[in-house]
Amino acid sequence: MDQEKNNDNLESFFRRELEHYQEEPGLDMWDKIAIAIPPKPGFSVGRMVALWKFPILLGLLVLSLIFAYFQYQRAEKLDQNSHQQALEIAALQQQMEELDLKFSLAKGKAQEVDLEPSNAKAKVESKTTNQEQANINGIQKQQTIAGTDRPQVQSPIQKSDLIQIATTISPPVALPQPPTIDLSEPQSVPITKRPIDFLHSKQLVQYNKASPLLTVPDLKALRGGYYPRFSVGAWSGNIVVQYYAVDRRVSPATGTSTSVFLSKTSGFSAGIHLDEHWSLHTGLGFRNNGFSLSDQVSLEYTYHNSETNAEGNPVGLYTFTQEGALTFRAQIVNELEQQNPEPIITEGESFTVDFNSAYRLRYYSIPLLVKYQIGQQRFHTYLKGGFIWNKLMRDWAFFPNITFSSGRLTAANPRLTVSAARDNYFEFALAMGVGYNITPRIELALEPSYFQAITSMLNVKPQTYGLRGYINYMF
Amino acid sequence: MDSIDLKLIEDCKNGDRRAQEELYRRYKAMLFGVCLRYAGSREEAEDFLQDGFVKIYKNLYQYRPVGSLSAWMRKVVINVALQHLRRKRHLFSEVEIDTLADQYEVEDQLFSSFRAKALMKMIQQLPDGYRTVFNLYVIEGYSHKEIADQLGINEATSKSQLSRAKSTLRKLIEKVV
Repeated sequence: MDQEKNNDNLESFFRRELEHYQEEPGLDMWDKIAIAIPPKPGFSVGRMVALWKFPILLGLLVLSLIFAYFQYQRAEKLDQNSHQQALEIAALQQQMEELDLKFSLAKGKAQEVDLEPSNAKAKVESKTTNQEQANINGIQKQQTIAGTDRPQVQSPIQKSDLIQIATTISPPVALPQPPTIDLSEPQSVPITKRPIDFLHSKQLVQYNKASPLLTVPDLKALRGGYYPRFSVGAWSGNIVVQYYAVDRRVSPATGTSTSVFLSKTSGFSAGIHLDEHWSLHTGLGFRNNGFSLSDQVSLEYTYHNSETNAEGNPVGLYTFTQEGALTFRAQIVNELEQQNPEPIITEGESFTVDFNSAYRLRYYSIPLLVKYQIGQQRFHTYLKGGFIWNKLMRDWAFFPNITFSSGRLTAANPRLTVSAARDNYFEFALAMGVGYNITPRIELALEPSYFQAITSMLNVKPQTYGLRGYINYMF
Repeated sequence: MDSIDLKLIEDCKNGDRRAQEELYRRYKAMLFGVCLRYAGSREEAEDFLQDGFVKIYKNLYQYRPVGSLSAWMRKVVINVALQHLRRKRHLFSEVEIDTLADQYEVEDQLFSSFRAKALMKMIQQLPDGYRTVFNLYVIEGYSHKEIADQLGINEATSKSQLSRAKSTLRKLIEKVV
């Protein structure tokens, strides 16, 4: 003992003496244990998962792939439709340009024949009618507006076509500015109603500035909202599977409009633990963004277009340009009453339009995140960062309500282009969380997070902050 | 592992009470020895053993026969003991070594055939923190980093606790010789 006590081999001494030390417990110990253990192993999620972890993980993976495949197919279909509609638009635009050209030709000939004797004029008119009328679809020289020598043009493009244009989903590429003379033929309305027809054509998506009518909230300013996320995750060995049940973001909009920005996300994610600290996460999520807003725009009636519709009512045009680019256009049909043939809306008259609009965006997203856990204690912290790819599945917009300051006006077929959102946008994600294992299997975590769009979603790159709450079940 | 052990494990998984008792009978002394090293008293060691066996029966489905059953059970029991100890307050409080040595009751056991029992008694008299780190480092062979991760402390604390544990044990041994 002295020898062992005096040398530095205290550790080996104790190890040798105690490593295989055995002692009998009390006689009643088994009775205590027998009472404490469950009679038979009942159904246990953890037990089932442990036994079936690989089939479960494989099944989740297959389901995710199938789901992703169908979503991809759906997005492809939308893209095909979009492409088809873009082709139709191009054809219509070409037709418009041809019409414009033909119109000039016809007008030139009319001026030319004015210099001819009357019989020659009749001859030319007859020739024009016989030879060109069949080719110049829709161009009808109906009447001349007082003070102008411009003929009334009957557009061959039907209203349904224009509606189709207005609702076309098209890629946000720069397109040539279309001519402004091709206004749709407004619907016939009761004599007491003054229709206004909003035509948000493709200009909305051509330029980087939003239309004043569709006042897209400044998403950069949408900070300070919160979006709790509850997730149930599970992992087995080096595999992590998580299910995100709810993710809602609520942020106040800024600017002149009052609006609410909502985002809901759900999906699956899975990860691999590379070691006790590092893990890699990916998955498939679905995000529904939507915001509605109320706004007001002032319009001033300008009767500069000098055209009439089929009923002979003068058609005015409100045009808004920004930095030289046409961003918004409204057509105002100033219907004349039989008793009072003078235009009721006069040149320069202004009025305001209050409207509510709603915009919806639906994405699926694939995150690729790296997580680093600091320590393995019950109470621990972690860092998370990476990228999220968001693919636009569908977007659409509508006006649920429009009112005018003048009771003489009403809206007819308000519509706008819904292709302002990009097909893809990437986000950079950064989060720092604290986790607490209430049991070895169940972890609660709070995660302040930050998202920065790298590419634009609409015309801006949104930044989002938030605090997420997690419940992870580990198996 | 022979087929008898495998059969025993399968029966335990199925809730066979006789098989569970047989498993207990085979390993109770070895596991109780482990519990005594981590506990401050025999009563506490019995609590560790009871909870340890309950956990073993509940989690037997996690055991893979590629490894030693006794090593797996030993690990489960040590984890149970550590969980108990973590719940205690002042696990790593500083204690004056001289005071501890003075409190130790000198017994003649060291000079008898029950030397190991006497050493166990010394260990049990150590403060919880000293005893836990000493056991994990000296007997189980954990590194200070692993101990730090396991107990939620830093490595420096683990090292200082071990150093103090050894100093205390030396003083206790000096006291009895």
